[in-house]
Amino acid sequence: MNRIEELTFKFLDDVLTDAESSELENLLARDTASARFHVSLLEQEALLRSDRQPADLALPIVQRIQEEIRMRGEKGVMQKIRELPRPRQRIWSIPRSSARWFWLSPAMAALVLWAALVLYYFVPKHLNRDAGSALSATIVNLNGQVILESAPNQRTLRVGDSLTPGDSVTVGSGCALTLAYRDQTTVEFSGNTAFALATSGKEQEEGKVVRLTQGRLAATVAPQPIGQPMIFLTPRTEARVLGTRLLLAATADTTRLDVTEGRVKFTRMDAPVSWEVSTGGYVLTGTETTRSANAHRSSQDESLRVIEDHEGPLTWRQQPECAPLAFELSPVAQSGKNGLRIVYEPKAGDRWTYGEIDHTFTLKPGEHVLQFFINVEHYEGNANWTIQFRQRDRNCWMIAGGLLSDLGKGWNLIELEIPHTPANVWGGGTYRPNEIQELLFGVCQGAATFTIDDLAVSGGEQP
Amino acid sequence: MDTQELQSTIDRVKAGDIEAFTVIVNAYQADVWRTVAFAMRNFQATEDLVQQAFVNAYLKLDRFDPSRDFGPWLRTIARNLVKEELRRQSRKSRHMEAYWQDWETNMNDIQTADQHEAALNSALSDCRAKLSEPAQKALELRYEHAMNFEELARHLGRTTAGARQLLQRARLLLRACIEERMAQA
Repeated sequence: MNRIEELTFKFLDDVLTDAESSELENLLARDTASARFHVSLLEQEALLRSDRQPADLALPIVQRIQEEIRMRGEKGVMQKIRELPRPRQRIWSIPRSSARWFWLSPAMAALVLWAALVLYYFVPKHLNRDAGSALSATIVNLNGQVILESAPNQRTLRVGDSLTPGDSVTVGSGCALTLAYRDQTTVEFSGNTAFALATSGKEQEEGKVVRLTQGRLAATVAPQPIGQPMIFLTPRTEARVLGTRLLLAATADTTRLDVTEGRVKFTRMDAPVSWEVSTGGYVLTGTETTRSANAHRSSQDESLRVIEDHEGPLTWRQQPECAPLAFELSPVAQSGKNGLRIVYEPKAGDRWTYGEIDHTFTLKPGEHVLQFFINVEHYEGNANWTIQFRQRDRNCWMIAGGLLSDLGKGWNLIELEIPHTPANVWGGGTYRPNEIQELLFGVCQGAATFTIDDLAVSGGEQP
Repeated sequence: MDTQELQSTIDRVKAGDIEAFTVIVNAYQADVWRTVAFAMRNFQATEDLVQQAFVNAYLKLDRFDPSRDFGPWLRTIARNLVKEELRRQSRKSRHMEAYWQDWETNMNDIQTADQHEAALNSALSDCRAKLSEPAQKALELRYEHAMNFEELARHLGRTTAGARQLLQRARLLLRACIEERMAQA
C-alpha cells in the first residue's frame, strides 16, 4: 500500500495523527494523482455510507414542520403587533442633572421593591397558576381517592382540577387518575402511585416533567417541540420522549420502561448509561441487574470483554448435583454463527428442582458487570433463569435471576452488577480478581427452552 | 409512488393534513439521504440536513410545479442545503475540500449528477458482489451496521489490525472495479 492510500484510509477511519494530517495536506496540494485518488476514495466512502439510513425519519420531520409552523405563527403575530397603530404616549421628562432626582431614585427603587414583596406574599398563588399552562394538566378521569399533597393546598382532587408544576400527588390503593395536557398528551396513573409535576425551577424550564416517585403510569405523548421533550423521572432514571406511547413503573430502586410505540431516550442517572428504546422494546434497571430488548445502548462500554460467544467448541459442563439440562450449540445466535440452546424439562421424581451448567473464567481487576443475551423460545409457569458466580475457595457465592415471563420477545440483554462484596451471597467473602471463578447458569421452577449468547464482562472502577 | 397518489397526497398536505407528509417522506427518504450522504461524512449531520430538506420542501410545496418530477425537485432542495453547509464547513476540513469542489461541480448539472449517482450505485452493487465473502461481510458490518474496528474484528474472528487490513483491501479492490466500470460507461 502506498503512502497516499495509507493516509487516506487513516483519514477515513478517523485515526490520522496531526503530523499525518499535515503530510496528507501537502501530498494533496502538490500531487494531482494523489488528489485524484483521494477524491475517488472519498466518493466511494460516501457511496458505501449512504446505504445506512435511519429506519424512520417521518416522525422527526413532521415534528420539525410543526415547530416551524408554530415559530412562523409566532413571528407572524409579532409582525402584526408591530404593525398596529401605536397608542399616543406621554413621555415624562426628568432632568437627570436635577439634585432632587438624585435623592428620589433610591426612594422609588425601595417603593418598587416593597410593592413586589407585597405582591409575592399576599397575592394568592393560584392566580399565577396559569402562567405555565402548557406545562399544567387537567384531571380528566379519576377513580377513588387522590390527594394533592402540596402544602398548603393539601386536599382531595376532583375531575376538572388543574395540576401545575410543583404539585405532588398520591393515588391511593385501587384508585386511578388520568391527566390531560393542552397538547392532547395524556398520562394515566395506577393505584399506589406517587408523582409530582416538574418540581425545581430548572425542571420547569425544560418542558413537561413528570417525576414518578413510585408506582405505575401509562402515557400517550403528543409530538413535542424540537429540543423540548417530555421528561419522565424516576428515583434512578430519566426518559425523554418526543412523541410516543409508553408504560413506566418505578420503585425506589427499580424502573421498567416499555415503549408501545415510537422511540424514547432512557437514561440511568447513576451509571450513567443511555438506551434508545424503540417500539415493542423495554428496559428494566435495578440496583444489580438491567434487562432490555429492542433497546440500543447509546454508548458501548469500551472495556467490554467477551468471555464466551459460542463460536468455538462447547465449553459448558453439566453440574452433577442438579437435574439434567440439555444444552448444545445452536444456529440461533445474537451474533456470529452460534448461541447456546438450553432445554430444561423437570420430571416427576427428580431429586433436584433445578438444572445448572457451569463455565469457568477469570475476573480481571476492575471488572464488575456481567452481561449476556437471552432469547426465550418457551417456558411454563414461573420458570426462572438463574446465574451464580462462585469462588468456592473464598466461600463467596452470588446468585441472581428472574422470571422468563418478564423478558421480551427476541434477544434480551441482561446486565448484572458483580459487587465487590456481594449482598446476596452465601458465605460472605469478597471476590478476588485474577482467580478462577465459576459461572453457573441455571433454570428452575418450570420447563423452559431458551438460547443464551455473547457473555461478556466490563469494567471501570470496582464499586 | 405514482403521480396521481403523489398529487393527492400533496393536496392533502396543502389542505393542512401535516401527517400526510409522512407518506412523501417515506417514499423519498432513501433518495434524499443518498444525495446528502454523498457530501456529508457525519451520520448525524446527514440526518439533520435530510430532515431540513423535507421541512423546506414542505414550506415550498406551493411552488412545486405538478407537471415536473417531484424527486429531482426535492433533491435540488437537498443539494442547495448541502452546498450552504459545505460553504460553512469548508474552512474546517482541508482534506475534504477537493472532494467538495468536485461534488459541487458535478451538482451544477442536476440531470448529469443524477445519472452519475445512478451509474456509481449500479457499479458499486456489481463490484461488491464480486468481492470475497469475508470482504463483503466486512463492508456490511462497517457501513451498514456502523461497527468500529474492535467490533468488526470480534465479528469476523480476526485481530483488529487484521480486520482493518481486510477492509482496506476490500475498499481498494472496490475502487479499482468501480473505476473500470465507470470508464466503460
